[in-house]
Amino acid sequence: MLKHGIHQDLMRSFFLLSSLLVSIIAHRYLFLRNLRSGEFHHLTMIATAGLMVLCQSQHFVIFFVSLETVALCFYPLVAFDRESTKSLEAGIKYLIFGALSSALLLFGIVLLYGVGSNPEAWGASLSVIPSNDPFSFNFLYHLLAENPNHSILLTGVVLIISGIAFKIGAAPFQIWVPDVYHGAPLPVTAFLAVSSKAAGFFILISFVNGPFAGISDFLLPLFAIVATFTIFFGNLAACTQKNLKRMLGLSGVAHAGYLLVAVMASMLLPGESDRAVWVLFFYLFTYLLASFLVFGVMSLVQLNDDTEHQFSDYENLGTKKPWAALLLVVGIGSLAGVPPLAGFIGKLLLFSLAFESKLYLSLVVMVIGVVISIYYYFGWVREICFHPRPVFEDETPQKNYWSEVKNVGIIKPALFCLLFASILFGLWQGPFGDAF
Amino acid sequence: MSMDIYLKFAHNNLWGELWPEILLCLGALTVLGLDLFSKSPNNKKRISIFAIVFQFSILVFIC
Repeated sequence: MLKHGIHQDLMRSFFLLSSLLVSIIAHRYLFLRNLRSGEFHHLTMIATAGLMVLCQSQHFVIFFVSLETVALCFYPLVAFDRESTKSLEAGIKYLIFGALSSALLLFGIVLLYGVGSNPEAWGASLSVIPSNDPFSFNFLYHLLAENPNHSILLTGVVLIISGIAFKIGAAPFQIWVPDVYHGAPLPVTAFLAVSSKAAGFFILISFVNGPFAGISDFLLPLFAIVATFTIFFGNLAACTQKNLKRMLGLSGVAHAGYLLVAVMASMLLPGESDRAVWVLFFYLFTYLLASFLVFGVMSLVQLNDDTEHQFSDYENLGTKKPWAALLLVVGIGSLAGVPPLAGFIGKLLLFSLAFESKLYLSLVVMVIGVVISIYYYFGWVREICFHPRPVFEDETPQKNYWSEVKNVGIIKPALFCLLFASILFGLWQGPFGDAF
Repeated sequence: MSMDIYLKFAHNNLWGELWPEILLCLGALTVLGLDLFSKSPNNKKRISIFAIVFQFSILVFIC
């Protein structure tokens, strides 16, 4: 069963936009590094088609098949640079953790199916039989609503959520994130950071407002613990990083924690859960704009080792390449939630949602998380704009990689469009405005 | 479990609504075909431009 509606159509456009931006970034990146562009674009487009089907699924068979299609495209994409040992290592790690996540997810689905196919045999009841198909979300909604304390069903739900937590990088399943982000080629890192995370959150919010709606009391404390741990782990671990790709990966973990609060709010606002969904959409959209701005600029420079983007590589970028510095600062500012950028409005809406839902502890945790994140985001901005390091007489001058950034083609206008959108949606929420 | 459930399931689905996904998959196959059979020295650039234009066209049609 597939569901068609405004939410699904928006997510389809979101994934397509993300894939388009990945292709734009990859265009120059693949050419400079002599990587095969045909295979790359093929895998990206198939993964996007899988993501688009995934967000419409209302049945566990379609859900699992589309999820695996996406995962099978991501494994070779992460290990795409076969000359780089770090890329291959990241691919292996992603494969192992992805397989574990799929196993958990499948085991959870099997438990729900087992009880659903013969409820009486497992001590469960089902008075309303919407269909004969225990894989359908509608069937599971009735089964879980009538048996909210059934231990096998709850175990199945926890396993499914654990599988999704792997995809979104939520604690305690976030351990793969820094290593995979570090080793993967930059366009793939951007694709993972945006599309994979967005798909996970859309599934999660669909589940908690759909088949799992009857067990909100069980899920809420679970999500609260996971969100708190995710926000603290992501932010504190990002503070210690010197490698920018690892730092962005860990900051993405913190963003996953903030978005989990929106998922919790959607469970607590009966009849108004649509607003929580719109806030989640808006936040994901601002995250897309900011992430592609940052990863887009990072992809322009060709370092000796592409996986080792250090703070020092961006030292004094404001004078070396002012337009790249402007794009990067706006992207970082939006990720940090600095007004008047779109990221600020996204965070503000999330805070107001948490306040309305009376999730005060999560709100405090989010505020602390945002304050911590200012440290590492602004450390990067300081390197770019404010802090030319003193050079010692006996020091070998560092190579200026940015002087080689020429003929960037379509990337520059695309990134300036993202910059314009980041500022525009910070000042005016446009089509999203009515939904808030 | 009877397969009738899945026959009904397949008939009830609005498969026509999936045209962007199907088109995207066909585009992906075309990209692979271009990569395999084209011997032009500008092959890489052409493939990238094709993928960008193709995805952009679908995005415009969806929106």
